[in-house]
Amino acid sequence: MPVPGIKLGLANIITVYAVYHYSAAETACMTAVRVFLGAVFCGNMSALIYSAAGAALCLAAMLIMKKILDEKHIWLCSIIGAVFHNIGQIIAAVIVMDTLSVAAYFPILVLSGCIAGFFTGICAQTVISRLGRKMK
Amino acid sequence: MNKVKVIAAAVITVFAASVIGTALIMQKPESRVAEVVQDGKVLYTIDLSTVENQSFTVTYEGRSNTITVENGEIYVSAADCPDKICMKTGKLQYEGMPVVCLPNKLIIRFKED
Repeated sequence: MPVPGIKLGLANIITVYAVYHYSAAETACMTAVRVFLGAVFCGNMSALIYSAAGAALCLAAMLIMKKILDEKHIWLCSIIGAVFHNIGQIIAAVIVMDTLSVAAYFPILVLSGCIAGFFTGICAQTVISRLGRKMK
Repeated sequence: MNKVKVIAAAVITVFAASVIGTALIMQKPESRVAEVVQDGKVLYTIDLSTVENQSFTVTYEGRSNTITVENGEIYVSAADCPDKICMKTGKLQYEGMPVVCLPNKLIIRFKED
């Protein structure tokens, strides 16, 4: 069932890795650029605000969680990032559409977000265990 | 390690809540009256149980959505938006799942009594 906003979020593999290995400012720049370019290349500039809102909350949440969760639990951080991505999208949608009706999609978005966040988190976790501590 | 368990428990709770929430939302609606809302304004109120089959078009900033009512069901049959999710969503089925076209600020939902 194609629902607005359900996606695998593979880009988060990179973002969550960057959160744990680069400065917050660097990660923020990287995220802003990939959100913008993503919207341009997908030909969907009208979706930019939802993508940006989701990415912003996701990044903020993961930066905060980095202080509590260490690298061994990056997969958990990824799930939390995914959920906050959905929260950001829904808030943006409610504001732009000027109605609470779209918030009805929140449960199914969070459900898929948890699953997708877990999947991308496991990918990031695998990258880290394979690369070892030699990478910056 | 304790912090991890707390956070993991919280995430599992959130996930469980989302499963329950999704199940609650996917319930058949009580009314058969649909509303077509664009940019926050209700454009049409349609009683799906009595209306005749028809199609009509709404536009926003030069982009259009064609809405079709057929056999008591309503859906978007054509759309000018970049992602066409509104068309892929199909027929309006649940009170909790409106048909939405975000780029064109269009919502088709069951009217709340």
